[in-house]
Amino acid sequence: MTNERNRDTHSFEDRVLMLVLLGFVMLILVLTRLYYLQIFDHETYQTQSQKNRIQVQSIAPPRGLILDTNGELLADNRQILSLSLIPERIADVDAVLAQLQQLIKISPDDLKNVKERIRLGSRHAPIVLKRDLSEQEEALLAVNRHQMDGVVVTYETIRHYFDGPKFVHAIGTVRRITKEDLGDIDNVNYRATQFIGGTGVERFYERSLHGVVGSRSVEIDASGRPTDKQPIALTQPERGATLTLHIDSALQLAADEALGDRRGAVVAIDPRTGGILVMVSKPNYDPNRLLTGLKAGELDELYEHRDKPIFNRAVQGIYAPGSTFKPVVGMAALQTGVTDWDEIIQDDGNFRLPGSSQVWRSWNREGANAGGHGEVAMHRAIYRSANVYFYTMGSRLEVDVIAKLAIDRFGLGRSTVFDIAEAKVGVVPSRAWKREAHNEPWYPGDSVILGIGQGYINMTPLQLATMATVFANRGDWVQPRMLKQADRHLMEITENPEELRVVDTSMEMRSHWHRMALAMHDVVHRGFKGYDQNGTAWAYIGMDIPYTMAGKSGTAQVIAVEQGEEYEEEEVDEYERNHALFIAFAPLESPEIAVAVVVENGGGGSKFAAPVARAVIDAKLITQPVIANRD
Amino acid sequence: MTEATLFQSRNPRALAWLNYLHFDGWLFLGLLLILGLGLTVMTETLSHAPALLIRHIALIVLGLTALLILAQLPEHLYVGLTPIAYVGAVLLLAYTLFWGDEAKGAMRWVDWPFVPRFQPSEILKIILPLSLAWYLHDKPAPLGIGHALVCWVIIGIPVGLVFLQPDFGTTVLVATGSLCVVFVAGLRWRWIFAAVIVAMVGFVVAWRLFLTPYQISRIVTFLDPDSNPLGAGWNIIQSKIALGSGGVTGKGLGEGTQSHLSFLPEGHTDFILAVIGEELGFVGTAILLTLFFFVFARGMIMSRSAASRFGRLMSAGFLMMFFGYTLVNVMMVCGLLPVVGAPLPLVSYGGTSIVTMLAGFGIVTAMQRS
Repeated sequence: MTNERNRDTHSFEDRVLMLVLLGFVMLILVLTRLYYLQIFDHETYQTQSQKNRIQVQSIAPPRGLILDTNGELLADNRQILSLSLIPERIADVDAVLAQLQQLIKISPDDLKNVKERIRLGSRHAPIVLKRDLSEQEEALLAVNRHQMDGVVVTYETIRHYFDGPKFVHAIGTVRRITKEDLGDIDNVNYRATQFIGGTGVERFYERSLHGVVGSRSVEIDASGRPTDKQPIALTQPERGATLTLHIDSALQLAADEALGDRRGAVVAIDPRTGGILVMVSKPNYDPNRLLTGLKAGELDELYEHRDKPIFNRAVQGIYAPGSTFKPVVGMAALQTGVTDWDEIIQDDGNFRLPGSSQVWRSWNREGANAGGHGEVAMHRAIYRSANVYFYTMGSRLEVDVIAKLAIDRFGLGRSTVFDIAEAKVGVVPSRAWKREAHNEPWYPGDSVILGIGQGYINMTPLQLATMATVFANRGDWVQPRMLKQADRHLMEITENPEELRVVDTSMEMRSHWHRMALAMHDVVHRGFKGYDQNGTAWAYIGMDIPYTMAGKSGTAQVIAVEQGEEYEEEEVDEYERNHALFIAFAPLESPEIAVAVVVENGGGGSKFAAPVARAVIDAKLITQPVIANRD
Repeated sequence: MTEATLFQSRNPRALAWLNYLHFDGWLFLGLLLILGLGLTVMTETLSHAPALLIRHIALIVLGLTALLILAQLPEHLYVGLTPIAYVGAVLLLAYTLFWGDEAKGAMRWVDWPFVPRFQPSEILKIILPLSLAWYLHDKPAPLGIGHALVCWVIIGIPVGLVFLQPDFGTTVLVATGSLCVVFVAGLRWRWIFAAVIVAMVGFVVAWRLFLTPYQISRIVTFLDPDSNPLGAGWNIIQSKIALGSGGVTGKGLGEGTQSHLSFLPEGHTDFILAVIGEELGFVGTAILLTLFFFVFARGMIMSRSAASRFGRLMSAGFLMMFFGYTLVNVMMVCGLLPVVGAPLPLVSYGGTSIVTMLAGFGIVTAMQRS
């Protein structure tokens, strides 16, 4: 028994010892593994641990400011509060939404929209329910938010436009970045950016206005939420460039007011610099509302409205220049010598091409001199806007000569504006152009109506203003531009002085330019001479002008009037009435401002467009701010 | 060494009551050091959940109390109660399978009124060594195949019930630990070799037929954690990052970013060693593992001096359970084994495991009484 017991104990002790030794071997194995992980490979895992917990967040740079010529703010940035939902933290979305609805107003469209996005979108990214909360709404939410997990109020920096509707077409707007943009933009620099320049200056100078993205390294937990600790590293973003424009707020507001509720555009340029002082297009819209989210219906209305408020007529509206083009035709005639200042054309109210039965009529069929202007020379043809005279000039001139002058000297039919990308180029017809565009030869009749600025020719209000600038400068073309100066070098532009100004050096032309300016002066100032001897605009604006102003009216046909029919303003639909146009510059001797006005479906240019031009020029020349001088 | 020699005081009267308390000083010291180190890290890890921490401490106190009480009981009481305990455990496991609480797709828990929620499979760590010791205590070495087969049945019934829960980790660990009892009881080597071959074949068969996709995914993930870095591989990857980023001395108590920022899930349960490694470094893990080996070795030495064959077998079997769990947990945490649900004994959060382990050490101590 004892023997057996000993044997048993012996075997047991052997085997226990074996197990202890096995355990020891395992201990060494495990410790080796831990040594390898914790000491040998420490660096690798240290890096991975850092990568786990540190997230680099991008900080959007503040967008550059836009100032007017006097340093007044046109666009800056402001912080708005937005109400957002974080779906992963909300158990019952409907209940939370119902709770929220009792606190603040949420439109049914937004509600539907949010439900849809919660269903489709990511679970932990906030979904915006309402933008730009009022202080009252914020307070209500602050009091009640603790009851609603997953409801957060977030700050968002958005663009703010001062006097938004009145300046929207002058400086353009930003818009939210969409999926389509992602291929075009610098993905690093725009990582935190939500808005991008959509139109106008905002679009053209996007890269400079945007600035340089900053970054912040924060500690996050496994679900990606930042912890309360201070950022580990911080690189401040760099604010975008501050741009000073030539736009003059006082003039812009004057133009806006003068145009009133009518559809149309006003552009004013400083002829000395080419700086665009005014750019108004009506109707307009409030860009601030577009950024904070219009109600669904409102946005559609904005886009589908017959009057196209989003459309910038000043640079994209294409209008026949009508009689405002006559001075250009006149200059072409003088330059080529097909006429001079003394030649008299007999104007009996009608014009016929030799061997043609078609009749082109004068504009004033009715009234005191329905039978025409009688004997007309260049000077009177301008201030009376005599059609027959310019039909004759049109028919005498080779079309390509007019085209060359219009394009080379006046910058028409091409985009000459320095910094508006979306500006339309318009059309200056030529033989080659008509063959290209219509696959037809140039007919003599085309030349006749080109003489009075009708037919194929068309241009934007900006180009009309540029045209006025050339007359103001007596033949010198200056490139129109929005930008006056910036606080740094801008990457969008390289200044090439040779392109900024094209001077007419011909001494012979110099006197023609001066006499043309005088003829345009008489459009406004020649009065008390009897109806057929007064300037076309005198009765409307010229009687009490305290400075010297030159101008030219125009009335552009919207619908073609058939042979033998009359154009009766009262009878045609409002949208088919003629456009009223006026170009002007002042003062006559040393012009400081050149203006173009288009009033859509306004009727006669002198009556409807000229007063707008005068209001703008008045604001420039008369209503100067009074600066106290105590010397 | 069987009495509390370690605590003999210069003032015998002050600690005189200790002479009446039966326990092993070295073993007890080792256990206290492990508990202390574990609790130090656990305090920081559960700083956000004081309720859990208090529960954890309460269960440690309960476990230590159980240890000291069970250590005082006579051996014959254990021999007598073992068959009842075995039947009771089997019934409890069967009950769990049908009426237990479901968690993570498995029926592992029992939630009775007035008793903390517990995991019946945990008590097998004690019951199976006891039962096998009970059956084998009068069967002298060397053991034949017949006795071994009876042991297989004794192991197979409760372990089969655990497998059905399903709990793959506990199944393998408890079965392996129990087989160690048969091994130390003197099973002939020829049958041991045969069993190893059968086990290998059985593993292949089980792989093909019985493992659930969940279990297979865990094993595959272990072999290549990067194949599913956000799913099942996440634990292993994050655990290795936690250990590795700890370096020699660690990031400091409570400074472990892996656990405190929730990158390491189950940081207070199965993966507590990764937290210790991250915060206390290699120094911390090495000291802890050495303590585990110390307790294991001390326990095994104690088993040789147990009063009876029953005591020897029970003690050795339980200590194999203890160290087996320890090794599997450590190897799992440092990526040497697939992620199976094995807590680190005495340290991981989880009441049943701590109380069972400490109770087991109490019985091991009791076996020393003659």
